[in-house]
Amino acid sequence: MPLAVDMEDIRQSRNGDSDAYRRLIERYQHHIGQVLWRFSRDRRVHEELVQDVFVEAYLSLGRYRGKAPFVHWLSRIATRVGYHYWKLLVRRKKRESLTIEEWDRLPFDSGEKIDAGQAAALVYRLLGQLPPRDRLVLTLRYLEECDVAETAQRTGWTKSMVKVQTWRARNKLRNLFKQTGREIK
Amino acid sequence: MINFDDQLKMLAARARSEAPPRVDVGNRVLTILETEESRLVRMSERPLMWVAVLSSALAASVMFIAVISYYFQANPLAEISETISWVMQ
Repeated sequence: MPLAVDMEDIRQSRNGDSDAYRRLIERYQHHIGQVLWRFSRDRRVHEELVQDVFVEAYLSLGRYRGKAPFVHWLSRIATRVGYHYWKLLVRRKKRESLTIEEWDRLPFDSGEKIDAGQAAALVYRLLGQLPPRDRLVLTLRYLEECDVAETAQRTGWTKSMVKVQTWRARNKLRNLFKQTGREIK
Repeated sequence: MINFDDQLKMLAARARSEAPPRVDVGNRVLTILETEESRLVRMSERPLMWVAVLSSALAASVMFIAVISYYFQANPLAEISETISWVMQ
């Protein structure tokens, strides 16, 4: 259920109260920023994406029915905005790359802790080698820790489509490693 | 030796603890929305403007046809000349 304070701010925002909408932005911009940091690690682009989410949310505020928490509704918009950004990158032929040497240097077996920022950048670049649909499903499953139902809700796909897409994306990722001549367990 | 999927899960778990950069988009969003709203108002006024233009054009052509029909049907000049010739007789 949405928070009562959110519903009140949404109602006032719909009536044109910009202060009410500012309150909603301030309440959720950090969460949306966190979601979109998985979609772009460029600070300028990241901020623009967050901004786009709140502009889009305002323009479709009339369609928010209050059946789910407002933050879930915003996260769905953020996922769509991020996914469109990735599709735009593909059209511009911008792809991430990661060498096998970089992966091999990671201390998986030694128990040594990897820096969180470094780990996030590596996962971003690794998944960035996949087409947007595969990248999206694995980002939601691995980084956002969404289960099948949550992934379906965030993407607007069916649960079976999420399962199939996850399976395909994992295979594609394994194949990327196999292409480098490395055996994947 | 851990498998690839576990390696990815480990890395993702570590990545989740990263703090994203803080954003403050409130002012910019509200500025964009103000501009967008005035653009939307202008857009919503545009159809009304076209309705006004079309109805004026329609009214002008109906009036033109009406005047032509009146002259064709009533022929007021002929009536005047007939009256003058009747008086002259």
